[in-house]
Amino acid sequence: MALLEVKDLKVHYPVHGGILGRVVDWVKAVDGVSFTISEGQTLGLVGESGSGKSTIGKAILGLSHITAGKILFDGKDITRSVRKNRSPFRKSVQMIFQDVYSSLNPRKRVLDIIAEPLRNFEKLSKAEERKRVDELLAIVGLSPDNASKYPFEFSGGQRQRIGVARAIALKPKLIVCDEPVSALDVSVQAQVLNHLKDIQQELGIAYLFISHDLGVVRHMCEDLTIMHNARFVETGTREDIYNEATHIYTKRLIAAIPDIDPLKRKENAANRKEVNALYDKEQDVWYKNGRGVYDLKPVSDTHYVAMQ
Amino acid sequence: MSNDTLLQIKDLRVSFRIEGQYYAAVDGVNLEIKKDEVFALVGESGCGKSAMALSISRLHNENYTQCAGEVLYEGKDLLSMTPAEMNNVRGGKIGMIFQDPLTAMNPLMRIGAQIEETLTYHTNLSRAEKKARALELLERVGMVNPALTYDQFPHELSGGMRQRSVIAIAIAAKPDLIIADEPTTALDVTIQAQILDLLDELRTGTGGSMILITHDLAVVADIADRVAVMYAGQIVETATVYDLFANPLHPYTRSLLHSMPSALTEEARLHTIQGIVPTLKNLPRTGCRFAERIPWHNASLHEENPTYHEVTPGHFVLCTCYKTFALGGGTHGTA
Amino acid sequence: MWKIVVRRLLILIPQLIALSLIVFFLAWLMPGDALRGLLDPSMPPGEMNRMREEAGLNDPWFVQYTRWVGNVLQGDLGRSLQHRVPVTRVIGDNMMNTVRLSIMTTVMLYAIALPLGLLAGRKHNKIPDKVIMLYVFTFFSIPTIVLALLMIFFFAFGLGWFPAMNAVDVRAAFEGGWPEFWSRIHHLILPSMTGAILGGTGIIYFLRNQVIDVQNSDYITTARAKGTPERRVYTHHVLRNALLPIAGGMGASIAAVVAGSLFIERTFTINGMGQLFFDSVLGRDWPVANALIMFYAVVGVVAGLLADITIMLVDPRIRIK
Repeated sequence: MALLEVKDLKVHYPVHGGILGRVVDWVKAVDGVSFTISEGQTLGLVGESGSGKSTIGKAILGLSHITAGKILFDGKDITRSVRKNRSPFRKSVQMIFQDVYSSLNPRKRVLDIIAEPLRNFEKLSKAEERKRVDELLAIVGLSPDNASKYPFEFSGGQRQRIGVARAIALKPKLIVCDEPVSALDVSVQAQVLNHLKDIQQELGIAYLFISHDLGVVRHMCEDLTIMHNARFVETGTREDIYNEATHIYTKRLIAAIPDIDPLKRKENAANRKEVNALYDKEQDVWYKNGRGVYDLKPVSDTHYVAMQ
Repeated sequence: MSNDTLLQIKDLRVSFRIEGQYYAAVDGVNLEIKKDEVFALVGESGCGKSAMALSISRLHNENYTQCAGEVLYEGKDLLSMTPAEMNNVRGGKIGMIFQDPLTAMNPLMRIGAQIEETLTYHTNLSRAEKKARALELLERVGMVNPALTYDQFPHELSGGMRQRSVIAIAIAAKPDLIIADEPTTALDVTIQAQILDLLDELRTGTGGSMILITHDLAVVADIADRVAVMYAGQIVETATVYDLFANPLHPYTRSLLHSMPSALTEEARLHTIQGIVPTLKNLPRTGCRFAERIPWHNASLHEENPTYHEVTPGHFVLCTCYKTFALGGGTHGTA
Repeated sequence: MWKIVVRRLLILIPQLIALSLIVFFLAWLMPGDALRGLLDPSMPPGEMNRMREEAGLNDPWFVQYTRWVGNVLQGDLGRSLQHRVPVTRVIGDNMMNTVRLSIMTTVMLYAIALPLGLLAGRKHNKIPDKVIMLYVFTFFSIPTIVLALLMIFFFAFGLGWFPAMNAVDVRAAFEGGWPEFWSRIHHLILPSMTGAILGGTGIIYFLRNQVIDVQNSDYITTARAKGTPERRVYTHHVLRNALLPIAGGMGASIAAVVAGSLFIERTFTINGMGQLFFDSVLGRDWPVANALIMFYAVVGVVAGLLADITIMLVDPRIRIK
C-alpha cells in the first residue's frame, strides 16, 4: 500500500477585481495531479518557477488551501484534517525548507529548535530530550556541543543540517524537501545530499523531493515527475526520464542542462537549438490551446507521458 | 604586457572593514584578460570572486573598502583614476551584469529610460536617436516586442526578459569588456541556456571580452575560454577551459568537480570537502590556505610560501600540494 | 486606478458612520450637559426641564442621533450651546486660521525634513549625519509647549523678529490685500516653525534610513556601473525610491500636523480650531466639540486617501491598469 496517495489534486487561487472586489478569475496553481509515494521511496518533482511544484508540497502539509482532490496517508483520507494541529499525520510528515536563513528562528538555541517538535508531540524529561537532540545532531554530522549555539553561528550548510535534524526528530515517514540545497554552494550541497541519503537508508523515510535542478534530482531520486503549467507532463523512473524523454517539455529541459565537458559545447548548443525549434513547432501536438497539458498516458509500465 | 591584453590586474588586494579593522577578501591577485575571450572566475561564496569583479569598476562603498594594487585597462590604472574619468570607463568601456535582474533595475523607471541613461553618458545622440538605439538593443537581446518592452517597468517582465533588459543596458554603449556576476544563477535552467547563448552570440564578432563570475562549473564548461579558480581570496588555479576540465590539478578544483551531482551520470555518493569555507575574519593568511580542508595531508607537501607552478603551458597552480592529492575517502560530512 | 479611488471612497462611508456613532456616544456619556452650565441657579426646576425638552435633550439616544445625522447631512451642525449661533459660524471663523497654520507647517516640515534626511543618509556616519542625528534625538523628546515657549522667548521677546501671538495684526487685517497677507505670514512663521521642527524629526530619521537602504541596493550599483555621475545617482535614482515610503506616510504626517496645531494654537493664542476644541470641551458645548472631532477624523481619513493616491501615482508596481 502506498504511504501517500494524492488523487486529482487542485489548488486554485481567486483573483479579485472590480470596485467590490469580487472574484473575477482563478489562478490554477495546481490543476489536477495524482501520484503515490511508497515507504522509503524518493519521488522527485521537477519544474521551473511558477510550475506549481512548491504548491503541491504545501498542500500536502496543509499549508495551502485544497480546492479539489484527495490526499490519503496510510490509506486514510486526510484531506480535511491536514490543518488540524496535533493530528498524527502532522507528526508523520515534516518539511525541509529552501531558505536556510529564515527557516530557523534566530532567537532560539539549536537545542530548542530541534526539540520543538518533540515538545509538541512527546513528553520527555529534560535529560531524555537532551539525549535525543544529541543523537539527532550526530545523525546530521554535528557535534553535541553545538546544541547551545544560535543559528547565526553556523554556515549555510550547517544550518540546513540543523533543519534536517529538526525534520527527522519525530521519526516521520515522509519529508517534503522543497529545494533543500538550492541556496547552498556545491561542496556544501554535497554534504547535505549525502546526509539525506544516509538518513533515508537508516530510518526508511520517504522523500518528496522538489527541485528545479536536474542534476540534484537525478542523484537523489529513482522516480521522478516533470511539471509544467500546473500539471504533470511526464512521470517515470530515472532511466525513463533521462534516457527516454518523450514529452517535448522534458526534452527541452534536459537539453538546457549545461554539460560539464567543454568539448561537447558545440554539440550541446546545436542540440539545444534543435530541441527549441521542435518545441516551438510542436506546441499544438503537446499542448491544447497552447497551454493546456493533456492527461498522462502510459508508454510503459513505469513511464507516463501527457499526450493526446 | 602583450598587445592582445585588454585588462591586466596586478597584485590586487581588496579589503573590507569589519569592526574597525580591514581584512583582505581579495589577497594578491594577478590576472590578464585578453581581447576577445570569455574569462571565468569560479569559486564558492566567500572566496572573493564578486569582491574582485566589483573592484574592477570600483563599485564598492569606499567608506568600508580599500583597494591596493593595479587594474590596468588598456594600460591605464583604473584604481588611480579621478571619479570623472572612472565614470567614462563605467558603462562606456566596461558593462556590468548582475545576478538578480529584478533588483538590478530601478523599479520606478521604464526599461527604455534605463537603457537610454547609459547612452546619455557615453554618446552624443539626440533623444530620437537614443530611442531608436534603445529599440534596436531590445531587439538584439531577443525581445519579441521591443516597442512594448520599451515602455514597461521591470516588474512587468518575466525573469528571462528582465535579464535580457539588464544585458541591453550593459551593452548599450558598446563596451569592450562585460563583467557578468552570476548572470544566470537566479534563472530557470531553460532561461539560463537562452541567456548563455545570447551572451555568447552578442560577443562573437565584436572582439569584446567577458569576465564571467560563477559558482557553477557547468556554466563555465559551456561558455568560457579560460578559467581561474578562487579560494580564500587567492587564485589557486588558472588554465584554459579544456585543460582545467581534462586535468584539474589543485585539490580545491578537483573537490569542486567531484562534489557536483551530474544530470548526465549517477554516482552513489558525492564527494564533500571537510570543514567550511572560512569567514573573512578567519581567513588563513599564511601557507597553503587550503591545507586546513585536507588535514590528512602531510604538512610537508605544502609550500611554506606557496608559489605558482606552470605545469603545462598556460596552466598554473598554487602550492605543491597538487602533486599528491587524492580525493579523501570517507571524509564526507564532518564539520 | 479610478476604480481603487472609488472603492476607497465607498469604504469611507461605513468608516464615517462608525465614527459619528463613537463621537455621538462620547458626548452622550459625558457627565452633565450644556444647559446646566448656562442656567441661572435661581431658575425654577420646571423651567430648566422645559428648556431641556426644547433642546431635545430628553429624547432617547437614537432619536437624538438620527436628528443630529440628518441635520449634519443638510449642512446644519446645530447651534453652539455656548455662543448661541450656528456651529458652522463658530467653526468657520476659526477654521481658516487652522488651515493656514497647517499648510504652512506642512510646507516647512518637508522643507526642513527632506534635505536634512537626504543629507544625513548620503553622509551616513560622517559629520553631517552625526549633527543631524543629534538634532533629531534632541527634539524628538521635547514637548511642544517647551519649544513653543523657547521660540517665543528668543525670537519674539529676545530678538523681536516675529510676533508672539495672534494670527494677524488687527490694523493689517482691516486694510486687507497684501498688507494682510504679509502680516498673516509673519505671524505664522514662529508657530509653524515650532510644529515643523518637532514634526520633522521622525521624517528625517525615517528618510535617512531609507536613503542608507536604497543606496546599497543593486539598482544603485547598476546606475553607477552605467557611469552615472554621483550627483545624478542621488537625484535620479536614490531620491525617488527613498521618498516612496515618505509619500506613503504623508497622510499620517498631515493628520499629525493638524492634531499638533491644537497645542501650538493654544500657546501662540491663535483663534484656531484647536483653541475652539479646548473651549468647547471645557464648556460642554458638544455640538461644537462633535463637529470638530468629525472634522479631525475626516482630515485623517482623507489624508490617508491622498497618500494612497500619491503612492499609486509614483509607484508603477502599485499602479492598476
